[in-house]
Amino acid sequence: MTDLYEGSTSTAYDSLNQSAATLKSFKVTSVLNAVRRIYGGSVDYASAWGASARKAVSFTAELGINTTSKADVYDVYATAGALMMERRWRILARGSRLTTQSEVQLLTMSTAGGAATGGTFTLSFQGATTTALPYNESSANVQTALRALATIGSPNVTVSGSAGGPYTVTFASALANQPQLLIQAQTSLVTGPGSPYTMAITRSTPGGQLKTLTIDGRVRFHVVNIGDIDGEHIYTVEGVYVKDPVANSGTGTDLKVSLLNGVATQLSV
Amino acid sequence: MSEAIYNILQIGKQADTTTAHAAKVLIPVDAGVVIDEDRSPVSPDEDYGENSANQPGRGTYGVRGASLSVTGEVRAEDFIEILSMHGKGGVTPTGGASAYTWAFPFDLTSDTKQRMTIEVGTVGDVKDQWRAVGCIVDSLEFGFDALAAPGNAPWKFTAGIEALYREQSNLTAALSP
Repeated sequence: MTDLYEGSTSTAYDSLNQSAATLKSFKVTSVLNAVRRIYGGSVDYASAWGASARKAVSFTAELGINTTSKADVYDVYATAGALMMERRWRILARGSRLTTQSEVQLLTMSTAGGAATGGTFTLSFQGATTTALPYNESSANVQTALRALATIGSPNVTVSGSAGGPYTVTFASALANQPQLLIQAQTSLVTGPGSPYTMAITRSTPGGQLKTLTIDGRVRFHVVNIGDIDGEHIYTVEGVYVKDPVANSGTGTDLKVSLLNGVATQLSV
Repeated sequence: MSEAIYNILQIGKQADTTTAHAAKVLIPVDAGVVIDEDRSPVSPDEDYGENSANQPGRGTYGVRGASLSVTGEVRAEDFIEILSMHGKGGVTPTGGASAYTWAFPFDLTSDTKQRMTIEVGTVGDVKDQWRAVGCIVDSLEFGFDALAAPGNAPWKFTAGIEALYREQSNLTAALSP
């Protein structure tokens, strides 16, 4: 879910209708060109770097534009050619999680060549490993084994599914609403006609909370390419973030990063 | 073993430029991170394993610093730590719980980058656990790829990091999976 807002001269943004303009991709490149100072004493060692001059913050983006309803970017290409155009943009994109949700992982024993008929397997999470579990272990016992791990604990995971799997592992309580590492399985001791067996472990629901990052600044851009994908015009633009380029540039002169639905999580010493 | 064994990157906020600080948070990265030493091309054999500034009279010979490159997908809030090493350190957010805002200067010339200590290495192998001290982000790319259904847009970043020096140091254990 990604939005692009645009406004020319004021701090009030005109939201482009999403059906008219969508931000397909976006990348900012920023370089300090930090230069180490000549060493030779503790003072230089402490100061360590110098950075010369003001650096440009450049970007590339792909925009999907319906030119009949939003002509600004289209005009850059059709009527102004490669001339730079200046707008104030707010780039808004969600993090990797759509909602606050607990992680769910699916554990599935391979069946190619025939289902397992004997033997044991173990599961590991963050370095801790369960006791050996029969190939056809019940989900309740798998849950007990996982909860016994020091890296999980009780009642921080629930397991459902048929005996022998697939097992659906849902992280809960203290481990709820967080991204989790994948569980690992060791299946070399499982026997049957399909040996050797493997256990596929997939993340069916990624854990995490909705977080939105917004980049707010004034940009000067030009169109470098235009294409049609499934009837939608895709404009590839590139440009730079600029600071007070003209008198009416408004007040948005810094690179501003906002975190919606978040907390002030900066590290403390 | 854990999928994250080779993908550990832990950072801690330093109180000053040169004093290492124990890591406070984990940042997910795509691949294992190696801290390279910047060796003098003049006399590469003269390597004391630490910054040449600690060798009185050696000038720029020997090891002059360290660097590392990091690529990953991060949570939105993790970006603030990265930007504090690149744009400006010590930025106080404005706003409230629904929306905090950090403003970073565009000129990028401020000498108030937040120095961080970055710990990398292999969990369970203390001989392969390192830290880089006094890190700043020299080059930074961040953004997201073209969207695909169902429309998630994970933020990605690539950071070129410069450090004062590297040294062998155990990972801060409480953060290590």
